[in-house]
Parts: sequence; C-alpha cells; structure tokens
Amino acid sequence: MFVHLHVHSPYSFLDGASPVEALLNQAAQWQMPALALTDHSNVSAAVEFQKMALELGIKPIQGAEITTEDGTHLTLLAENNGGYQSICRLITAGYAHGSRQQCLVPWQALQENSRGIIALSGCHHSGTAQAILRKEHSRAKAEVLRLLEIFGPSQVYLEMVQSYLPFSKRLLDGLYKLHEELHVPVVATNNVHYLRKEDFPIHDLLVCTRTQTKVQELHPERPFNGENYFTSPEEMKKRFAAFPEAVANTLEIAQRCSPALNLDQNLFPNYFPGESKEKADQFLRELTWQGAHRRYSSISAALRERIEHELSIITQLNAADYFLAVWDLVQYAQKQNIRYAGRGSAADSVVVYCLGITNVDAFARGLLFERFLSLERAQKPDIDIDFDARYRDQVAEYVYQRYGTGRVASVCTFQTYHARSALRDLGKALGCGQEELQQLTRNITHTPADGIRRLLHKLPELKNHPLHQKKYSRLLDYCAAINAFPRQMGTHLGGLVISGEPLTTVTPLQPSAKGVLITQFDKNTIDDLGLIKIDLLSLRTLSAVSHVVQELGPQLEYDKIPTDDQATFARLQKGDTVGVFQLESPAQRSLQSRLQADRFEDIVASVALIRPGPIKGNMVEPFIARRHGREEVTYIHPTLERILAPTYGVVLYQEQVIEIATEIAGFTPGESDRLRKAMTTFRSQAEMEAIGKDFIKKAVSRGIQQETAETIFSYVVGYAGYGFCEAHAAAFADTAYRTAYLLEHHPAHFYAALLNSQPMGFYPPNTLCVQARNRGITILPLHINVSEVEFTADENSIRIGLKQVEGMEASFLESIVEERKRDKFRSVQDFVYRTTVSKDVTENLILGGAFDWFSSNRRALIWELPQHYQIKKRGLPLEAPPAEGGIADFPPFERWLREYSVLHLSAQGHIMDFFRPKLPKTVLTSRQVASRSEGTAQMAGLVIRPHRPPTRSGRTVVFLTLEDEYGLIDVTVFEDVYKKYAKTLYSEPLLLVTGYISRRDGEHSTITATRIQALR
Amino acid sequence: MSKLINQPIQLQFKGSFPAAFHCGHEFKVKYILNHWREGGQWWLDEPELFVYEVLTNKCRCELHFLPSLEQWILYRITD
Repeated sequence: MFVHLHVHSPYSFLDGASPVEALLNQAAQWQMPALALTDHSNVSAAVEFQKMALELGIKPIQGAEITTEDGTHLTLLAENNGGYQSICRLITAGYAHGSRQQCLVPWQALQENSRGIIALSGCHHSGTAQAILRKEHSRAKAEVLRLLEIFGPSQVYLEMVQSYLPFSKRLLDGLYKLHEELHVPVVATNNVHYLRKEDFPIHDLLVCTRTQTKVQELHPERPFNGENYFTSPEEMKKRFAAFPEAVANTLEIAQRCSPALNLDQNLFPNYFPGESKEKADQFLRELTWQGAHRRYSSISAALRERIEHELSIITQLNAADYFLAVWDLVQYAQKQNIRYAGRGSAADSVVVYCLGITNVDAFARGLLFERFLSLERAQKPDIDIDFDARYRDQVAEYVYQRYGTGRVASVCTFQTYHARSALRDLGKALGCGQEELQQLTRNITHTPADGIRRLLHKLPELKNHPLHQKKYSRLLDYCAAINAFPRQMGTHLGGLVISGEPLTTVTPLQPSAKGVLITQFDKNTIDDLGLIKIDLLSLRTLSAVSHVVQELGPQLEYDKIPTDDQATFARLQKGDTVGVFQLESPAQRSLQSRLQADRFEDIVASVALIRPGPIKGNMVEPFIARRHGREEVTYIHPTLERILAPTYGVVLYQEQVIEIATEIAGFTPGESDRLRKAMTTFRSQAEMEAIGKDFIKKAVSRGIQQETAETIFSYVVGYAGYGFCEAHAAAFADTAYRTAYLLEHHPAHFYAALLNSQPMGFYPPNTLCVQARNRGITILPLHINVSEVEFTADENSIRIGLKQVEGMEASFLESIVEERKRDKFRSVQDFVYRTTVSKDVTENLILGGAFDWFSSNRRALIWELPQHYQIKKRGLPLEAPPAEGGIADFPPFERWLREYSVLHLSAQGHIMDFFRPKLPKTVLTSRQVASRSEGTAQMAGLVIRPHRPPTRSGRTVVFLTLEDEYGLIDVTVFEDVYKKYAKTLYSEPLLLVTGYISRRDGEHSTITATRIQALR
Repeated sequence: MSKLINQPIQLQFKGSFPAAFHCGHEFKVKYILNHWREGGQWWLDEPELFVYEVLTNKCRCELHFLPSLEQWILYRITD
C-alpha cells in the first residue's frame, strides 16, 4: 500500500489541475488509507479536504509546500493540530517576509515554528536536491542536518520523487546515499499536480499562464513531462522497486498523522475578556430591554415573550459576545455620524432591532426569528450591515484597533475561472494573439467555462462565432477542465472575522492588494474553523443619502421622513423611479406602475417580487391581480391562510416557505432549513425531490390529503431559485422608500448626490442627467472657476463637478481648489501656470467645457495648450502666442462627442439632438411613445443595459431601455426578433427600433420590437 | 566528443531494461546511466519520448523510443 504525501490541488494557484474531490475519489477507489494535501504556501482547501476525506473514510493529512527565504522548497505535513498551527504561522511569516505575491519563509521562522510538523526534504527545487544535483555532497548533507536540527531527528524524511527527469537517477541515488550516511528515512512521493496522465496539458497550460509563456516557449518552471499524476500504489511500487522502504514509509507517516483541523469550535472573542459568559449574556439582556423601551411605546406580553425567546436562543448558542461586538461597532458608527443600515436575515430578530442594528420591526411584521437563528441548526449568526461607502473602511479600522492586529482579518474570496477568463488565459498560452483573443471572447459572458459549447448553440448572436471552428475544439475542452478553478485570491467586499485567539491558530494570513491582511479561507469555509464573519458592506446609496442630508441640513429630517407620503407613492405609481434604491430597473419600474403601491408593504413585496424565484414561479402577475382584487385570493388548505394572507396567497418570502413546511408537514427547523437551502440555491434537483417526498409523506401523516400536499409542495418548487427573505426585503424597502421620497421632494440634490456617488445603480450618469432635465432641472456646464470638486445643486440646477473629468486625480483637484482660493483663473495659460494639473487632464477640462468662459473655441484652446506647458517648463510666465490663422472650433457633433467622452455626460443636450433633424417624423420621441397606449411605432435612441433575465417560459427575452433627449422607453425583444437582430442589438450604441406599443394595467408604455436597425 | 546518429535500431531487453542492439556493430549495454521521459510538443500531438542513456561496450549512447512509430533510435553516441 502507498499514500500520496505531496499533492497539489487547484489551490496551488495555476499549479494544480485536478479538484480535491477528484483526487480523494481516486484515493478512495484505490483504498488508500490516507492522503495529504500540500498546496504551495496555501491551505485554502483544508476544510473541504478534511470533511470530504473523512466522509470517504480517508485520513486527511494537512500540509503545504513552502518556499524558504533562499527560494528552495520544503514539504511540510501537519502531524496534528499543533503542526497545522505551525504551518499557518510559517505561511503568515513567509508572506510578511516576502511580498504579497511571494511567500518566502525565513529559516528563523522555521526554527520557531517546527512543533508538530513532519518535514519532507522536498522536490528537486529543495535545498538538498539542488546540492545533490550540483554534486555538492557536503552541502546536501548540511541541508539535511539543518532540517534535523530544526524539526528533530524523528520528524525529517528524505523525499524521493521518481518522475523520470533527466537527473532523476542521480538525485535518487544521492538521496539514498544521504539516507545511508545519516540514517534519515526515505519516503516516496510523486509531487502530484493532476489526477491522470492525460491531464498533463491542462497543468502545462496553467503553468504557462502563471509564467506568462506560450506553449512554444521555454520556461524553467514548465513541467518537463507528464509524470506527476496521481499514480496508483502499483505504479509507485514499480517506480521505487529499488527503494521499497520509501514506499513503506508513506504508511508510517500516515499512521503518525491525525486530522489536524478542529472544526466547529468557537473562537469569537469574549466581549468582557476574562469575565464569565454570563456577564455578556446579562449585558446583552440589559441593552436589548433598554432598546425595546426606546423602540416600542409599550411592551406587550407577546413582545416580552418574543424578546425572551430570542435572548434564550442567543444565550444557548453562546452568541451574546457576537451580538455585543456588532452593537459596539454600530455604536461607533452612530457616534461618528456614519450612516448604516442592517440587512439580511438578521432583520428577522427583534433583539437586533432593539440594539439599533437594523431598522425593521421584526415583531410588528411577525418575522420568523428561526430564519436567522435556531437551536436545532445551531449555526453561527451572520449579521450584514451596509455603511456609507465613504466610511466603511473607517469602521473596519475601528474593529482592527478594538480587537488588535492578528485577531482581525478580511475574509478572502477566490476569483474562479469562468468562460471568458478561461478562454483568455488558455488561448493566450496556446499562442493566440490579442486580436484573436478578443474575437474568441466576444459576446461570451456570464457563462461557466464548461458551458461555452452550450452557449454557442444557444445564442443567435454567436451563430458565426469563431469558436465554432474545429481548431478551437481542444481549447474548449481545456476551458471546461478548469471551470471554477481558483485563479487568484481577492478580498471579500465586506467580510471581517474577529477572533479571541490569534488568527494564525486556524488560518494563514496574507496581504491583499488593498493592503489589509486576508484569511486563506473564504466565506463558505471560514465558520467551520470557529470564526464568525461580520459583513461590513459599502453601500453607495447611503453615501448619496448622506450627501443630500448634508446639503439640505435642517430642511430635511431623513430619519423622520413620513412613512405615508402620498406624493412619494404617486411617483412610485408612475414608475418614475430612476435613481430609487432597488426600484429603478426596467422590471421594477414596470412593476411599480402596475402595482400602484400605496403602502410600505407594497414596496417590501416589490423588492422580493423582481427576483428570479418569483419571476420563474409565475408569482408576479397573480400577486398584482390579487392585490387589486381582480383575482380571488384562495387557499388550498386553511392553514395556509394565516401564513400567506399578507401576500394575497402567493408564496413570496423564504420565511413563508419555512412556516409552510413547519405547519403543513411538521418539519423541524433543521428540516425546514434544508428545504430553504435547496430552494434558494437550487443546487440539487435530486435533493429537492427527496425533500418533496419527505414533505408529502409527513403532510399526509398529519391528515392532509396527498393531492393537497403535492400541490402545496409544487408552490415551494415553483418558488425555487433565488428569493429574498422578508426581513431583507423589508430592510431594503426602508431605504427604497426613503430614496423615493428624496427623489420626489429634493430631485436636484438627490440626482447630484447620485452623480457624486458613481459608480452605482442601474443607469449611467448621462441617463440621470436626462431624467433630471425632464424634472425641469438645468444641468449647468463644467466651469473652471465655479464648479466644485463634486456635483453641486440648488433647487433647480445641478452644476457638473470637476471630479467628473476623465483622468482627474485628487492632487490635481487640490491644486485647483487651493489656487482658486487665491484668485480665480483668468485664462488657460494662467491655469496651466498656477496648478499641477497634467496636460492630458487640462485637455480633458477644455473638452469638457471648463474653459468655455474664456473662449468657446475648444479646438483653439487645445491647439495652444502645448505652448503653455512648454513655457511653464521653462519657468517663463510669458503670454503664449495666439493660434495662427484662426482655428475653427470642432463641428457641433464632434464637440458633443468629445465632451461626452471626457465627462460621460453632456451639459449640452443629448446625442439624439443631432440625429433628430435627419429622422423622418414617423420616428417618435420617447415622450410621444409614452403618450400612446397602442399602435406601431419607430423610436431611436441610446441603448441602455440590454439584459437577458430569467423568464418564466425559459425562453430568451432581451430587455433594454432606449434613451433619447426626452426620456426613457423600455423595449422588449422576444426570441424570434432577437435571433434575427442579436448582433446589431449587442454591438451598436444607437438603435432605431420598430415595433408595437403596449401598455398593461396602467403600466407605462413600452415597445415590443419587431425590427432593430443601427442608427448611424 | 559526441556524434548525432539518429538511426533506427532493434533494441533487445533483459527484463524491462535495455540489453543490446546492433548498429553497424554489436552494442552490449553494461550500465544504465540515466532514464527519462520528455513530454514533447503535446499541442502538436507529438507523443511522449522515452530516453535511455547507457554505457555500452563501445561507448556512451542515448537511445530514444518514439511511441508513435513504436521504434527505438540510437540518437547520439559519446566517446
């Protein structure tokens, strides 16, 4: 028997070509008693590896292949949890010593962190192997002696790899000689990088990607042959026929090691360090009741019972410290006037509401606490909070300072291969040029790397795509093979973990591009290690809100906005919601005008309705019809009435599904949660079917008829896909309503705030300007002496801010503002001489109209610009000679295009202003279309966000918005038309759309396209 | 000094190890110095190459096996 002790997975980042699962399955098939995982300076797969291995009856041996500070390799195996901790500390030390890109472990760190590690001398990149290959026997001996000194005599093995390299024989002979001389045991490995020999090309291509070489080019790190596969025990015996003890010793090592990860421990820090757990429980209780008295005018018996119930569960789950930590950080945000809003399933909790973390009254809404926390699931709490995007990092910094470096880190993410990235990387490695790669990735979007062929046959715009050519067939196979492999590590947008112990007891820490330390585990595995994630998210909407609040001062009491403002609801009813949080997409605008929202609950429902689950489950139309009494609300079973009455008999929220499962089938909270997970991610059809059988069986045993039970479960299946929990929808709805209020009552300030908070929302800046103009707001041009850094507004106008100019940098802005304080700029030359702004950005300022005040001839100003910079360079503040012969300005259209290209918007009107005079009168404006409810029409405009959302029928439907000088019109393109005009649709910025106008139930008018042409 | 030969040969084996071949003269393998495998240009469908470096009664020889042709070649000799 033989055990592989040196194995790489895709978490070796571009040096491992087979997934952990595949390796483990093969090991199980060959009845290997154990398997080690030794990724390069990385343990990211450790949790998945340990869990899966134990399920298969294989002992997992955690490890890593590290690179020392002198560039040599060493294979480290964790004998136990202590060894795993040592490896975590070593990798952390390696990144601290090396760089973000390179983990180089200092020998001193090895001296200090050797406990519990079994060290294999390493592959042919090891210090020992390198010395043998250089025929430096005494040096090789010294390398081994150093390892013995660091790790101890019983902890070191000489690693023998027979992968048939030109020097293999010399290396193996040299290692064996050292074994005889120093009595250090030998051990056989195959330095595995892929499962099967035929997977070698994939590994080679990944290495080519890592080393930025093409297959035709040489690179010392590229594999010489395809022998580093997951060899069978028989093959290893054959390869090591001359050294049988090397094979036998793999078992000896396996026996010495034990599964090294302690899963399901709780490492969250005590809120009161050194004090009893009861103290935290008591403090949480006090804060909750204080909050309850603030939030509620009176405490009813039912409310008291609810709060006590939640506190009891929190106490039993030992989670009080977590709640207190989150409370503590929102206290900090409050004190710093940083706007925040709790979201997600945490809003199902009354305690969280009382602590001021969320703004959703879970008690009043009757929200189910068990959707957030339950004893049976005993999972860790997960609270997500949105902060004003500008200050999120400040809050994170507070957490770092509060708990100490080494105990707080950001959670990592893995950027994984999908179709485009796989095509780009592997195509490049195979020798494709930039232009060819552009062709190959054109229109291949949002698709897994193993779904390219399917996509090529599905989408009409890909009918003549070059990837159909036979010569790319193998490239598609290679892409499929690396689907979802991690390519590189990134930083989670908001996730922080806080630990009571140094984090390196469970995870290595490494620097991110942003400079913060990140864990090597992502959100899916981090809690298995005992760490709890707090999501501190950035929400630009909150930044925009803060802008408005700041600008309007006491005029606006944002937190006291009336919840029943009729004008706000009237705006929603018109579907005129561009800029409103969560309610601005074409689907939402259409829903708003049909739903005719007149209460907050309608907004909560809106947020939850426009999701793939409810759309595919055909819930939108019945909901609207029942909401307006056009369809009778019926319940297939009386029990459902209590659960579904608030949503007119429609299953809309995850909480309702859990309640249905509990009430109808008597599911336990754990069983219900299994259903929720299967339902929300639709991971497994088989799992859903199994749950369905269970549901129906249990429902029947509770006296419900088989047919009724089946129908009820069909509701649940219909909902499957991604749906919101009610608490989350309510949290979002709160912000949605308030932003709708701002849009209605303070449009200029609100649009300016949105423009200042870009990129955000569904629409580009220019669309926001078009919308503002339609509200009678003037967009004032850029002005070098008047424009502030940001967009500014008064009641009826918005002035474009200087920061909007392409290429503008903070230091340039500072220089402009400082100089302007001294005196206004009197000419372009004066500006050039007095500021540090680069020539390119000054040119952009001219094109953006910032100097029109001095001369409206932008071309002439640009013509003179080099001379100004030349004079400035020479240090002579002389007048530049005027342009010779009077240069004509740009023609109007070019002038507009140039302005648009540097500002991404235009104060001078819309591009359609130039096309309109050339168009026949039969081409309607958006305003004309909006005034009609039927008939055929032609309309031209800028294409905004064409997209293909999931549809109930499963057929492809493209939705896009056409923007002209008067506003927006939504266009629907059904599959037959889309197939005909797909290429034009996705490649032309301006379209002329022919079709028929329709208007459903008070909805705004839309066009259903029958013909699409490019407008040029 | 080495000389490129690149001539097909009939290689005889003793067990799984090269033992002798004929190429103008009779070469008897005395010692296997090295053995390796080269991946080849897989992207051009070039097969893997097996190589033995052996010490014979005449000289040092490099023997290549081309799986596509199932043919052994005396590739190079070194004195």
